[in-house]
Amino acid sequence: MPEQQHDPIEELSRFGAGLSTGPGGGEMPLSAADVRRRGDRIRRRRTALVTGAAALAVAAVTVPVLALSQGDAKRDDTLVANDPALSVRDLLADADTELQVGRTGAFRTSETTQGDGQATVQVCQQQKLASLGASNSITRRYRYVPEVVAGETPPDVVGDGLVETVAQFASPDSARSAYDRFGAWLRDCPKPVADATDARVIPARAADVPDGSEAHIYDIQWKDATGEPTIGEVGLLLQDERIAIVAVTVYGASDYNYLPEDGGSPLDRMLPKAAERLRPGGAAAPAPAPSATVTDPVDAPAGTELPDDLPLADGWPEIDGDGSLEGPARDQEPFSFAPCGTDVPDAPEPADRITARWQEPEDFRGRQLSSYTSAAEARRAADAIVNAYRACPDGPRDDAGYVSHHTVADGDLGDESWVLGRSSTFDGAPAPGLDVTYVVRVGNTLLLITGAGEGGGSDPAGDILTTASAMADESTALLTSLCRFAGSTCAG
Amino acid sequence: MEASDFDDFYAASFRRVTGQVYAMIGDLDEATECTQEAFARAWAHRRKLDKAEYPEAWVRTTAYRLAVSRWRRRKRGERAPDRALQDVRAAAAVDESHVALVAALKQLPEAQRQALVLHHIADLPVHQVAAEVGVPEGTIKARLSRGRTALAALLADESGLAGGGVTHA
Repeated sequence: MPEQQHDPIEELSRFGAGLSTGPGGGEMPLSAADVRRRGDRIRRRRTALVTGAAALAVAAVTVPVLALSQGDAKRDDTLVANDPALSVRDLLADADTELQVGRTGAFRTSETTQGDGQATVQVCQQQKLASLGASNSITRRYRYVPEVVAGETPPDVVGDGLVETVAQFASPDSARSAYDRFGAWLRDCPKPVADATDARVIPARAADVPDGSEAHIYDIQWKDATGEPTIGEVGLLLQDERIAIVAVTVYGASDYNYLPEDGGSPLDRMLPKAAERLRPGGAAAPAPAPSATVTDPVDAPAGTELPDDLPLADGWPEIDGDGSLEGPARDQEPFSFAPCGTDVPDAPEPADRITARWQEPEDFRGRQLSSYTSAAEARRAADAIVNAYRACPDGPRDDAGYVSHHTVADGDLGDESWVLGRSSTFDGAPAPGLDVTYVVRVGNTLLLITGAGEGGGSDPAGDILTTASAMADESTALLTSLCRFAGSTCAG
Repeated sequence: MEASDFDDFYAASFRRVTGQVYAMIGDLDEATECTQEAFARAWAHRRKLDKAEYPEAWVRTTAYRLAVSRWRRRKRGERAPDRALQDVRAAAAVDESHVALVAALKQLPEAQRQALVLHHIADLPVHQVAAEVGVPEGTIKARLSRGRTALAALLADESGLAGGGVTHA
């Protein structure tokens, strides 16, 4: 009987025993340290994950007709909507973007430009779109907003994130010709970035887009200068007289990422939205509500006495043995700011104030909520801090040789907001240690969200944005409550 | 998990997990690479791993899933396998007698093969196999029963082994 000669259980068990006692499983190609290094890269890349435009674009020196944050979407539309054929509404909105499954809004608009400019924009693009017959084109670059794990060092953010170009042609045939030509460029793309190695283009696959559109996705794989595997996804979209080119690059990704059963690739998920946006009439699709729409503060109906139950310390990590939590309380020391050594006056005087501080050996978090007699007063209090940062881009060298640097960027919280960053350099090189303050006005209140940590050692600008994003995420409950209290339409 | 803990974990578990994945997919190079990638991800997700009751099971599941995913993608797109990790040297051949067993396992349906490997090679009790695979215990028992019968027949009939060697899953 054959079964008596080959007991499967015995064979399997013997195999298993060999794995435990002998060389069964084969050799370990990498040392544990190498695997950890690889893991560290994965973690950084998983959260930073992306550069799209910076790596792929060929130094687009375009005329930045628009360099707007998401909060400026209305102005964005106003400026370009005069063109009856193409407008920024035909581009992916921030809320349409999605890198990881289910995490929409992964990218933020960093720049929107019109026309070809002086160079090609997209990876493998060999000619300007105007040369292909485009009567108009708009390109938008997005930066990636990495996911930050509370309590962990913010990940590196490398360059920008995503880039989309939409173009209008005189006829469907002309658009089709450009679409085909672009596809040929991608298929023949020898080298997506200057220092790429092992580059190869995967045959295009059709993308699932709404009727009336046609789309293909090209995957270009290569290894960067450090040997890190990289996937550049480029989606081509054709719709009547228009085309769209959407490109995203994912560092640290291999060919087993983004399987259909896992929700597909970023472009599998974003191209259908791009098609909806590009569709004639699709521009009427509601753009995500700008979160910063108030340019002239108006008096809010809210009172000046802050509720005691606002979740001012909500979202912060648990304090461990070496940490402390102070407040929320009204008797806390108020926040103070002194860029370039000049104290920022705490004016106008708030009607009410609650402060909370969270501290651990290497991290600090704080929130201070103040109410004023009017929205204009709250705005003046914000201006005092913001303008002090603006007035001091670079501070004097301190006794230890460090130089402080201050930055101001538009935020996207509340009725209006700003991100203030302070980093430092030593001998011209970035030094660890930065602090970030999100200044958020909601009605007649002003919320200061601040955080400090050991970031900034390699990419201060990226760390500031990452820290601000993390602080915003942690403050969601507070902002929602605050918007409700202040009677603001802001979403928090 | 500290670096030293991870290094110990890697040293103790790498060969075992690689062998188990090899038995499940039938390709030692691929199993080696996917296991290595899974350990790298384990380090990247070490906070999650700290909470895992069975870290080795986490790595094994990840490695197996990576291998299956790569296989599906290559099958769908006829893609060349990506080499996410550098310096993957040709893995040492396993015991010759195991080659026949793995070749036979490859003839089985994926679900049966997975159940057999986890229960008889990884030595997991049925309830743990069920938990790792995500199906009821009764389903695992049925898969084990059918898998054992099929495997016995395949081992008995050497001619039933397709080519008698190991190919990409």
